Amino acid sequence: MKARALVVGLDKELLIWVLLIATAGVINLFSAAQVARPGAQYLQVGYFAVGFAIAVGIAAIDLRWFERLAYPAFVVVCGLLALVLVAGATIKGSQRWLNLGFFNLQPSELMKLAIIFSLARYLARREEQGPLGLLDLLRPLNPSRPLLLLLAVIAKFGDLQIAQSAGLTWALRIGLLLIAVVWLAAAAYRMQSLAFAARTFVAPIDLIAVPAVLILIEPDLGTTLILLAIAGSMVLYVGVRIWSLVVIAVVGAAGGVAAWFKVLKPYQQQRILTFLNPEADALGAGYHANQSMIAIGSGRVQGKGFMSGTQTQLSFLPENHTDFAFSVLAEEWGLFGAAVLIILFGWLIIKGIRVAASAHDRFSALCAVGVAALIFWHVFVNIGMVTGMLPVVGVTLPLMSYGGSSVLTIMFGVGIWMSVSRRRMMF
Amino acid sequence: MTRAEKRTGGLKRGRVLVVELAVLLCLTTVLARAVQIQVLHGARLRAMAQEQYLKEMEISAPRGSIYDRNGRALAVSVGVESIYVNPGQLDRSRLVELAAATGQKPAALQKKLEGRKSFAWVKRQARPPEIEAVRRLELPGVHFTSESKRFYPNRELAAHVLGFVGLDGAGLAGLELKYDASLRGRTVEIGVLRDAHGRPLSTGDILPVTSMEGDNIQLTIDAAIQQLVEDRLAAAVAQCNAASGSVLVIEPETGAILALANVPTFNPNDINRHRLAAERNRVISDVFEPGSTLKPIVIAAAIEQKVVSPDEQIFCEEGVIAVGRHRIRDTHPHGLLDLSDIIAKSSNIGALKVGTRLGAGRLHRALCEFGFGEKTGIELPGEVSGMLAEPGRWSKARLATVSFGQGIAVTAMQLASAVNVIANGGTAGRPYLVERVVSRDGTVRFQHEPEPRVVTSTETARAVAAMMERVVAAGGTGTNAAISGIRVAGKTGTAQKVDPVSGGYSADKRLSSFVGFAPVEAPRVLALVVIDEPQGVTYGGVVAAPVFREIVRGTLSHLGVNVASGIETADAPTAASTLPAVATLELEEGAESLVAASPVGSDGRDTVPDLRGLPMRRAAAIALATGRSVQVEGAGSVVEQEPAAGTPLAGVVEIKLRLRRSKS
Repeated sequence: MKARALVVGLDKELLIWVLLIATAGVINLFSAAQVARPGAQYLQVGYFAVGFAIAVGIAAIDLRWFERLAYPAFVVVCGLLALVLVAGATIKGSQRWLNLGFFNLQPSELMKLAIIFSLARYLARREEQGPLGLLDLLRPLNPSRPLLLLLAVIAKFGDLQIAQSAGLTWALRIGLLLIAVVWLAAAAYRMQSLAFAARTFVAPIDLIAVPAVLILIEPDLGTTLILLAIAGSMVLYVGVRIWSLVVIAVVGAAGGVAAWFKVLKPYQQQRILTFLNPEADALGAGYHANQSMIAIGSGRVQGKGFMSGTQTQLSFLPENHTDFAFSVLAEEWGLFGAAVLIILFGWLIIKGIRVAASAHDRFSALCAVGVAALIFWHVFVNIGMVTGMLPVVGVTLPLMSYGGSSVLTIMFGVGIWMSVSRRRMMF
Repeated sequence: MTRAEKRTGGLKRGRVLVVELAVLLCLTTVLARAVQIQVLHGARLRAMAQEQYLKEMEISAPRGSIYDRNGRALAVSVGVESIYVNPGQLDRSRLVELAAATGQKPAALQKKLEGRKSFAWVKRQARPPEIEAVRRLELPGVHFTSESKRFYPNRELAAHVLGFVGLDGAGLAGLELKYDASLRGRTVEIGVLRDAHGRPLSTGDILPVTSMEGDNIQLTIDAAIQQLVEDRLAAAVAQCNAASGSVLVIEPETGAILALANVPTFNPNDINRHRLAAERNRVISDVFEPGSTLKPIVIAAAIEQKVVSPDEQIFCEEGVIAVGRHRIRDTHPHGLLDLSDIIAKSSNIGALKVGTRLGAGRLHRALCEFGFGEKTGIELPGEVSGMLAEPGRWSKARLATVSFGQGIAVTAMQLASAVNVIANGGTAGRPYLVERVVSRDGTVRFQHEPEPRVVTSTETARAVAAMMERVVAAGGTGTNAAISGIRVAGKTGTAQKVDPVSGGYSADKRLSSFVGFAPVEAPRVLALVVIDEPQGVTYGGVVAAPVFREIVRGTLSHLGVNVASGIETADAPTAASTLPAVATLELEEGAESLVAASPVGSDGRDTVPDLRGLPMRRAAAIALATGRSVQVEGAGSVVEQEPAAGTPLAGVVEIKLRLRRSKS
């Protein structure tokens, strides 16, 4: 493929819009990273360079390749997630990264893409028409149920401290790894080679629950929720029967209550409590949310000016170059800057949905929807949390937050959009 | 699949619209939230932000300096570094290192940090090596700040006059306490940007501090005389193994106090190293029965009231007289004595006869006019008024004893002030220490104005002075006070001390004193020497008079009065009385010739001295003598200075010295 061929038919509007937001992000980093991580903006430019190259490259690939590779990729990423639990680097109390020497790989980021492909493939190849029912989603009689039960047990004992005190750590980890790898490999193999109808083995619940549990016990509540939100969005896009929806909502609420007591770590519980009343503990758990709101609010309509945000520059605002990038922007550029960014994101997401709607095939459409959901939920949850509407769960703002994994994931998604967009006219 | 479904990837168009609307709704919510925070709560949140980053900081300007009458620095403020820590950021495992670097026990340091969230002192006013050691540890959360430390370059010199300050720079004793309001630098609250760790961001550009600096005080004290006095007093107290001693030197004409000293004394630089009693300013806080030293006052009052004539003779009853049920004795029996003999030979009977002629009312009034019974108003805290009973309650015996100085309690300050009336030709000038108070910009905020008050006629004073001159002449009790070539007037005193247990007079405890002035024809100096509980010989003429002589002679010589040198009176009890000591006075190790520029009424011609190569104390003393504040960094000898030597002092506010220890 010649260089020219790479460029022809690219959705330039999409590309320019992404470039605009990315530029805003890098400019914002000049100010935001100044105190906490000087020079991060230059690294970020590097990540974007790689990211755009990936996006353009993906755009050149026919998505059917991804459809074929979806399940094996899913299995590999699940393996990586299991590996993280065994051999991952622990940063700030969470085991989320695999140290590759030159790069700290975050498999949960890869999972965001893997689940989009897998779920898209599953939903695209459904034989039945019409909305999904509860039975379609769960397939309770599938032979994979024992695995889910095992995962549920692990989730319960997922707190490694408890496991350690029980002397089960290694047994648990290796057991988990072996079962997951062997079972998933076998499953993938059978699905590939025997043209075995996938749904006799996996149901959407498997594709969602396995990675969600693995990520939840890292622990990484934010990514787990994002993953659930992406999957939920894709399933909802296909359609769910109304009564099934009601049941899911009721069970989900009950599950949430149960999770509060059984699954959430004390600090996660604290975050949610703090969210409900951030000023009760302004110096402790509510510090992040409170400082963020002070930064945003003190920017008022006109902002304090680039590099002049007191809360940012004087280190009152925590994590200002990663999760709280929006707060920096809102402090220094005011409501004007905040509104422009939200509108840019809004346009980008609508554009992504339009791409999905005009897609050539169901798989492409669902992939584009997945990417739109990925970006939308990141934007919504991130801005929601920094403005005090949602609990602080550590979700990045796409194209704005500093970080290689985040940038590459989003740019990969943008590549998917462009690939779908490029082939929308091929009937 | 229908065509429409195909176009939407098998989905209905309506669903796409619903999804788009849902996305828009969510983002609109987010935007609305931004509007709510930034527009509706904007003002409140901005105020909260300012509350965080704008820290009200107290900026204290340096305390004013205290100078002697010649502009020599007696008390100055220097910048000293203190170490503090943000306990939240301190790695507790390195607490032991931090404790060791600052010379504390880890447990003691631990205690300082307990319960402190963001601030605790590690060591205030740390020594340069400690600062260096802590810097080398590079501990996160440990910070340094420059605090102003009071420095008394001459150590003990005039300690009881100056007093001292506490760690927080507030005056706690002496003039430092009395003039705290003037000396204290104004404290101004200013808004400073600070970051989330509480560190102020810029303090460099806040400094119009000069205008806020405390006022400088110029004293009447002459450091050279003060030094002489302290040396001689300490020697005398040591020699006769006395409990304590005090000396007061006054310029008769004005009442200006040239020297005020007590033994025991203390070093105000280091106020935790002496017993509390050493801080006592006995000159104003201790009372004693003046004894014979009161006699000239009584006789002056009698002459003034014309109940005796100056040349009258009084029969002294051959040594014993009965007053009521009491018998009163002289040490030596005398017959007819004229008034000067009564003073010279210190006859109690003569004095009581004179006092009895005056009567209780007139004697009491006279004593009040001479200043007894009430505070002199000296500018020091802790002055007491002594004890002078109301005349209506005086018994006959009380009238008799008061006449020769018993049954009345006075402070040394009162006694010296009263005798000064005689020295000064009958006019009382209130004794005072503070010549003027000058603000940093040169405004004179206070200037002492003499308020002379006539107590006796000049003739009376002259007559009594002449009588007192006979005390030091051959046959008097105070011959040890004589100075060849100078007419000296004086009076000895040897008072029995009241025994605190029995309430009566102690058998062996005495208070020996000598008060006098010279030259008689035009007195330039008056001195009072009090030696409390000397061992062995206790007569004022033996114990106190020699001290008086040396002090007065040295002072006169310092003041330029031609004192014939080398000729000692025959009965000089001490050998060490060579006087030019004042000329090569050493105030501090090696810091000679500090007769330097006074900022009080300063002159522009002086330049910054070259201090390189000098050891710290000496360099600091010289630098301080310029009246500028001095910032010292490091230890050892000076390797760098700023501004450079030769820079005109006029524009210099601070002299910075960087020191390093030589490798030898």
